[in-house]
Amino acid sequence: MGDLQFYLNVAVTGLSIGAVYALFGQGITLIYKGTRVPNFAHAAIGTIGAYTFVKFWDGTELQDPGLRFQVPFTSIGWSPDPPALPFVAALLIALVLTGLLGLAIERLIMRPLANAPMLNLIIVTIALFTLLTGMGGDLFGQRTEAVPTIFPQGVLVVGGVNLTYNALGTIGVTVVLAAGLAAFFRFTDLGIAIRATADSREVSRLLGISADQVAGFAWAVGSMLATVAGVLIASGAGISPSGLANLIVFGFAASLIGGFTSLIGTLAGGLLIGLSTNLVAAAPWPRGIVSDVLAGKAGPTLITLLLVVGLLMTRPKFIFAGIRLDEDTGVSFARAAGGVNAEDELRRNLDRTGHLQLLLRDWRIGRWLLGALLAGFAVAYPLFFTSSFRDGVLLNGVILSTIALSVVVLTGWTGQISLAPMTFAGIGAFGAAIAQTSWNLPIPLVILAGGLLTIPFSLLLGIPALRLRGFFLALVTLTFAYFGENFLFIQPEVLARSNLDREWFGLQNEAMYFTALGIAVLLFLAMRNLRDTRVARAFYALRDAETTAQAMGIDPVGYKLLAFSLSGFIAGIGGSLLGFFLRDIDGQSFLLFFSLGVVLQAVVAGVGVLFGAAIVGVMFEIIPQLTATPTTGVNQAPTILAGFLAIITIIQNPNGIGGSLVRFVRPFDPSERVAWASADDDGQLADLSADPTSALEARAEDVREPVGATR
Amino acid sequence: MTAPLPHAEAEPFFQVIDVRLAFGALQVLDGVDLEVHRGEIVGLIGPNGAGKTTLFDAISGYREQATGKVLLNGVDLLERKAWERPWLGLGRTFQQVTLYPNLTVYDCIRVSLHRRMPNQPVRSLLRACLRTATSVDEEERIRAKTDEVVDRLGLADYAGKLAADLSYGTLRMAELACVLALEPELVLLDEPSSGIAQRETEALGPVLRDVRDELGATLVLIEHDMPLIMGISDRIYALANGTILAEGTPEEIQSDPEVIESYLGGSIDLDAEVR
Repeated sequence: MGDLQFYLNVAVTGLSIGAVYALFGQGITLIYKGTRVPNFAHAAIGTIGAYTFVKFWDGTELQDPGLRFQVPFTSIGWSPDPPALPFVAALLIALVLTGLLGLAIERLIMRPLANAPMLNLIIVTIALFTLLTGMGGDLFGQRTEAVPTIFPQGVLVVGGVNLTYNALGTIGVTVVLAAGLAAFFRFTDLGIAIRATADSREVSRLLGISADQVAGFAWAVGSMLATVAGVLIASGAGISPSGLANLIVFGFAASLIGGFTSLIGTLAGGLLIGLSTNLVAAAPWPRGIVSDVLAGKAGPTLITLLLVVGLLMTRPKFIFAGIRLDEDTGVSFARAAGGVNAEDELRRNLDRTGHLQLLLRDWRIGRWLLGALLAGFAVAYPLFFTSSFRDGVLLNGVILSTIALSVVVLTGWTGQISLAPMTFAGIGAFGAAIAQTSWNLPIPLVILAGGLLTIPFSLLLGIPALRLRGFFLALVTLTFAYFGENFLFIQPEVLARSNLDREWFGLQNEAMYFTALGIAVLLFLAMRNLRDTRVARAFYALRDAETTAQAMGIDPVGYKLLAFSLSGFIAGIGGSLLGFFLRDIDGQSFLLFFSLGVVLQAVVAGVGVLFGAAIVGVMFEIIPQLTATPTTGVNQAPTILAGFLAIITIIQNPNGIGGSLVRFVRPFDPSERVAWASADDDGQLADLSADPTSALEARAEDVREPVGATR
Repeated sequence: MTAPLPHAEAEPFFQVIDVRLAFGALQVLDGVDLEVHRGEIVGLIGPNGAGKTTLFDAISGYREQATGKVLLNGVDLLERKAWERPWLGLGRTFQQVTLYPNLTVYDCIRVSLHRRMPNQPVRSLLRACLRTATSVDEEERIRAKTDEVVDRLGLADYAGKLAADLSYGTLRMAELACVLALEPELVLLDEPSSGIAQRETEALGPVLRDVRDELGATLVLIEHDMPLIMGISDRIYALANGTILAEGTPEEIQSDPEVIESYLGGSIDLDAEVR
C-alpha cells in the first residue's frame, strides 16, 4: 500500500471521527445560539442517550443488559430487563428520552437562572454533567459494552482506499443532519425565530417570540443531537459510562470554529479537527524526542489545545464576527421571562434569619469551643482509632481541602474560573516524583518542589486568562485539563519517574496524615493572613471591576498572574502530598472529570471563603467515606449528591454552604462574596431606591444655606 | 466668584499636545491641545460626540491607539499602561460609576491606597502571607488614610455598606473618595453630576472646590450641567468634532459666538442660574 493510500485511509477515519465531533458541536452551538448557555453537560446527555439505545436495541449482546433504578444511599431498587427492540424503536426511545431530558433541564434548571451571570451557567451545567454521569452510571451499570455497527458490515474499496460502511454512514448522517438544521434555520418560521432571539432577545420579545419556547426547543433538539452523536461513536466500537466525557472538549472545539453561531462552521470545524488530529497521530515524525512526545494520544491532544487557545487568543474575524463582545465577559443575558435573582433571594433569607445571626455572632465562646472540638477531632481521632484506612480517609480529606483552597484563591477571590485544579495537583505530584527520583531532594524539599514546579504551568495558563474571561477562559482551562490528562501525564519520560518513596513517613498513614494536616493548616493560615491585605484587595478589585481597578493603579497582568501562581502553588503542594499518599502516581488520579468535581465541591462548600475550602474535605471525603459501608447504596450516590447540591447552590445560594455559615457567625468580610453572586462582572448600577438619603444629599443639607461661606 | 489663582509656574504641569484618534474612518480626536496649570479647575464642554470622554479615555489609557503627547510633570502618559498612570499622579472617574460591587465602601477606598505603597506584587504577597512587620505596618497606614478620606467626604455612615447597595449619588461620592485616596495631582472627572439628583448636584460644586483647595489637586471636568461647570471652573475648553473650538474664562466662553452656535444654543438663560 502506497503512502498516499495510507494517508487517504487515515483521512477517512479522521473524517468519520470528526463527523461525530461535528454532530456534538452542532448540539452545543444550537443550545448556545438559542439560550446563551455553554452546555458542559452535553457529553453526559449523549452518554445517556447512547446507553439507552444500546440497552434497548436487539442488535447488541450485552454483558449487563439490565437497568437499575435505585434509591440513593440505600439498596432499595428495581432492576428490570429492557425488552429487545428493533433498531428504529430503540433509537426512538433514546431520542424521546433525551429530548424530554433536554426540556426538563431547560424548565427546571436553566429557566430559574435566566438572568444569572455566565459563571453560574458554566458551573450549573458542569454540575449537571456530574449529576447525569453519576445517574447514568447507576442506571446502566459501569461495564464497558461492545456495540456492533449500526450500518451494514463491509468495506467499499475505492482506488485502494477502504471506506467502511460505518465511516461512510457516520459522515453521511452528520452531513444530512447538518444540512437539515441549516435549512431549518433558513427557511422555517421557528428557525428564523431562534435566529432572531439569538441576535437580540429584546427585539424578538417585541416581535412576540417566546424566549422560553425557543430555549426549550434548543435544549430538546440539542440533546437529541447529542444522542445521535453518542450512538454513532458507539457504533462498531463500544460504550462506557465515562467514555464520552472527553468528547466535550472536541465538541466545544468544533463549536468554537463555528463561532458558536454557525452550524455549517461547526460541521467544518468538527471534520477539520478529526482530520488534523488523525493525520498528526499517523504522521511519520522523526524518531526520537518528537515522536516520543507526540506518541499516541499526545499529538492530537497538543493540536487540540493549540487550536482552542490559538483561536480564542487571536479571534479571527471570520469566526468571531457573530459573537458580541460582551459575551465572554460573563455579563448576564436578560431573558424575557423574569428569573429569580439568587443574590436577592439570599439577602431576603438573611433578613429573615437576622435574629439568629445576631445571636450566633455573640456566641463567641461557643465558636471557640466548636473550633477546639474540630481541631481535637482532627488530632485525636487517628490516635484513638488506629486504622490506616481511616487515617488515609482523613489524609485524603485534608489534601482535597488544600486543592479546594487553590480554587478559592483563583476563582472565589480573583474571579478567574479554572476547570483544571486536579491537573495542577497532578503536575505537583509528578513534579515531586521528579524532584525525589532525579534530584534526590529530602522530603520537605520534595513537597515544596511539587508546589514550585507547578508555578510555571499555572503562569502559562494565566497568559490566556489575561485576555479571556468567563466562558472562553473556562474553555481554555477545560482544554488544559484534557491536555494534562492526555499529554502531560502520559509522557514516557514523566511516567518513568512516577514513584515516590515515602518510607520516611512509615507504611501506615498516620505520620503522613499529621504532616499533611500541618502543611494544610500553614497554607490556610497564610491565606487567612493574606485575606485582609492590599494584595488580596487587588484580587477582589480585578474580580469585581477590572477597568476601575486599573484606573486605581492595580496592575491587572501582574496580579492575575500572581493569583494563578499562588493557586497553582497551593494545588501543587496538595498534589505532592497526594503523590506521597498514592506512591505510584499515574494520570488516572488527575482526570479532567476529577477537576470538575473539585470545582463543584468548592462551589457547594463556598468558593469565596476559606472556611468553604476547609469543609470540602470533610463534606465530600471524610463524612461519606467514614459513614458509608460497602453494602449501603449505590456507588454513584456521592457524585449524584455533589451535582445535585451544586445545582441547588447555584440557583438558591451562590455563596455556598460555607459562605452562609460564615455569614451567620460574623460580620461581613470582603473575601466572602463570590464572584458569581454579583449580577454583572463589570460592576453594576445601584438600585436608586436602595438608600434614599445619599451622602451627597446629606452634604446638600450642610451646604444648603450659606454656599461656600462655611470655610 | 472664585479668587484668581496664582499661576506660579510658567510651564503648565499638564499638557495635551496634538492628540489624535480615529475609529475607522471617523476621526474622533483631531489634534486636541490642552494646557492646565497646577491648582486650576478646568472645564471641558461640548456637544455629544465631540470626543470629550474619548479624550479622557486616551489620557487615562483606555484608548491605546491614541497618538500625540500627554505630558504630566514632563512624563508622556501615552507611553505608559493604564494602570501605571495613577502611579504618575493621574486619577479619573467614569461617566457611569463602576465600583467593586462586592466590596464595602471602606474596602473600595482601601484598594486605591495600594498605590501609596511600594508596587512589588510578589514581595508584598509573601510579606502578607507571613504577616511580617512591614505588611502589618502598611495595612495600618492604609487604614489611617482611609479613615481620613472617609471623614473628609462624609462617608462614615456608608463605609460598611457594599458598593452594590449604594444609591447612585453616594456611589459617586465613594468613587471620588477612591480617586482622592490615590492622592492624584490631576483628577479627570467625567460628568460628576450625571445620574444624580438636582439637590445633590448643588452640593457637588463645593465638594469639588474643597478637593482643589485642601488636597491641592488640579481638576479637569466634563460637565453638561452649565450652572455647575460655569460656577466652579477657572477656565473652560469647548470641544467640537474632536478639536478645541474655544478656550477662556467661563464669561468669555458663554459669550463666544462659535460656542453658542455649536453647543450652548441661544435659549439657555445662564445668568439666571449662575450667581
